[in-house]
Amino acid sequence: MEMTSDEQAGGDKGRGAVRGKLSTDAQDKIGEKLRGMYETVATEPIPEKFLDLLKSLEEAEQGQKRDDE
Amino acid sequence: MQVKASFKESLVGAIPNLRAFAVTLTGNVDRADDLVQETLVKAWSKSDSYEEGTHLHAWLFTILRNTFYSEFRKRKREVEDTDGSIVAKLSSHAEQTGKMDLVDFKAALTQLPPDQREALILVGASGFTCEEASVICGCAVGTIKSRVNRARAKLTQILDVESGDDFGPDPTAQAILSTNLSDAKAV
Repeated sequence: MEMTSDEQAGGDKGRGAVRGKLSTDAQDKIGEKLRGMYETVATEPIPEKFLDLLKSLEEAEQGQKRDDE
Repeated sequence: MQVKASFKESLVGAIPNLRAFAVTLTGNVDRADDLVQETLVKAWSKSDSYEEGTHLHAWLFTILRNTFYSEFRKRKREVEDTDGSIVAKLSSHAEQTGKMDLVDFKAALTQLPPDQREALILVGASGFTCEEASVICGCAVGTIKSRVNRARAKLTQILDVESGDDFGPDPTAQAILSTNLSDAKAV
């Protein structure tokens, strides 16, 4: 992954990591941690409150329609 | 009604990904769930504007991130974190162990500017292409790529995941940390 001109113009003048390309190893570690964190949440069961919410939205709308008729 | 029923099913199917996006974006489960809830309510009321067959997840992610940003701007006015204790804890921990654990990672993630954090999550974890992410964020593809690069570089600095031999506490990282405290309360 290359630095863009936008990035160089962005004023990141740090030493080490920002200079040149990041090591593949560092990128892999970051990607791994991020996906791990993301997947942990994504694989949790859907909280009931969201299902209840959608159900009540649906019911409210159906009630509305009946009133209109 | 049939259409709406299938729309509802699609929303349900999207909830796990919306939550994962919201949690990684905010670093806070309660805030994340509030965001998801608002997103679902908005999506439901705007369902007419969703075009069948287009990328539902991208549409929902757009709603969620727009909601996040309008709240973020509000919070920024309300909460000015000048404490810095989270950052101090984070760097001393990293120094002691010399390696990154998940606690460090979560804390470091919240130190990124939100636009960089968002780009990194969308491309690096949600599985969107840079093109899709650019549509969700309403910016150019090049901007997304640049944000992802910067996010990775900053995380690497903060977490010191390079060997760490060449550079100790980094003045640039310090500067980055001290300028991005406004969202640190989310940890």
